[in-house]
Amino acid sequence: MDNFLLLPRALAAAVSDSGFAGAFGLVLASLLLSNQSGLHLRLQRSTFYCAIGMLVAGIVQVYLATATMIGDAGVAAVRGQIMPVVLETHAGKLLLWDLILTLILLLTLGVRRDWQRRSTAWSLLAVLAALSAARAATGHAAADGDFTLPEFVQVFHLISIAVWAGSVLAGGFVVLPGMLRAQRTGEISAFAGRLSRTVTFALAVVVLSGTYNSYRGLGGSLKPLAGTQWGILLDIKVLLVFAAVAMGAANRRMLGKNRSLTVEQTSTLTTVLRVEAVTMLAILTVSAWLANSPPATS
Amino acid sequence: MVPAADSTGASPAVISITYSEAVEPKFSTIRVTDAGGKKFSTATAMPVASDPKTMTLALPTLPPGSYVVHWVSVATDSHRLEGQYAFTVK
Repeated sequence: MDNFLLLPRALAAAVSDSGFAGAFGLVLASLLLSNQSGLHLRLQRSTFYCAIGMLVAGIVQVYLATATMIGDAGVAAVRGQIMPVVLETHAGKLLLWDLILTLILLLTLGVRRDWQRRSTAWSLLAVLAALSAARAATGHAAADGDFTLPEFVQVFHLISIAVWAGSVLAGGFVVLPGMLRAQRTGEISAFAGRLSRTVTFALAVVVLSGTYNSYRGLGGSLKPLAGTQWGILLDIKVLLVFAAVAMGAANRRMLGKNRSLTVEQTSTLTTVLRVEAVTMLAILTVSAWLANSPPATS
Repeated sequence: MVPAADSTGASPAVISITYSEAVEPKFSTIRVTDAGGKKFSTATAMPVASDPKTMTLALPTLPPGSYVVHWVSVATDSHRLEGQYAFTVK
């Protein structure tokens, strides 16, 4: 029973977190792109799909959280307890806030269609930052209560991961392929350079806040890294992060050497960024699994 | 936890369990049975106002014998754990 519904909960969280990171990265990309890029409508549509993914995953998460709390995944049992969970428990209230904020995100996407305006992007980022705060309060970081240092650090961790992973996802799956299709290869190196600087800053915050979180999760000892499921998952996550960082560094070196890329270099850069984006999805999935597993100290 | 696992002593007035994280009182339970499964606790487990990690269960006077404490804890992050331990009343 300790791992009751662990797999479906981890999968729902992975979908939600990937959608969240994707939305964050797509909105940031709209700030990094010039108004003449012709990609803003595509970014808006992709953000909408991410938000829909978050909404569906959020509804599934409410069901699974209720099933976990009552120890019964049956529809009738969950239906009878879903309101007490949503209205009377800490996790339930925050899952409800997550759904409300996701609906506000969708509403903002529907109302603010002028994606070339920076105020649109900033209003969407404000909603996503509020979602980060709600999500930070639902996990292990809130074990000792709300408005604590671990929860505060977790807000920065979630935002920096969303900026890092989301920028790579948006760049690898939407922006660079769109530029290649539109044969605007000349803009790729300029966008990739801005993307690289954004990602490097976010990565520094990810490493600092992630080290703090890992230290707490391990209870100040490195022994659980080899002996517990939580520790092994953390090992896998760290390896995937190293792989993603290595790919990002390879692209950055290529950009650093030559600002006017050849067609072959542009193709290589896009391919590496796509593989990095797939690695990001793996990192988000393992992170979701970690967040839904008992920490090594429990 | 009070009484301690596998301990022997007088009939305890309450069962008290402190978890590693704060728990949701509505979905966290404690019940006491004898070794054969007959339920001896009639009250509902209650949270301690000053300590969100601790739940207590008031008990009637238990006759001598072996007893099992069955506990379910639902943490504030919604994760559920359950377990049991034994104690003996002289």
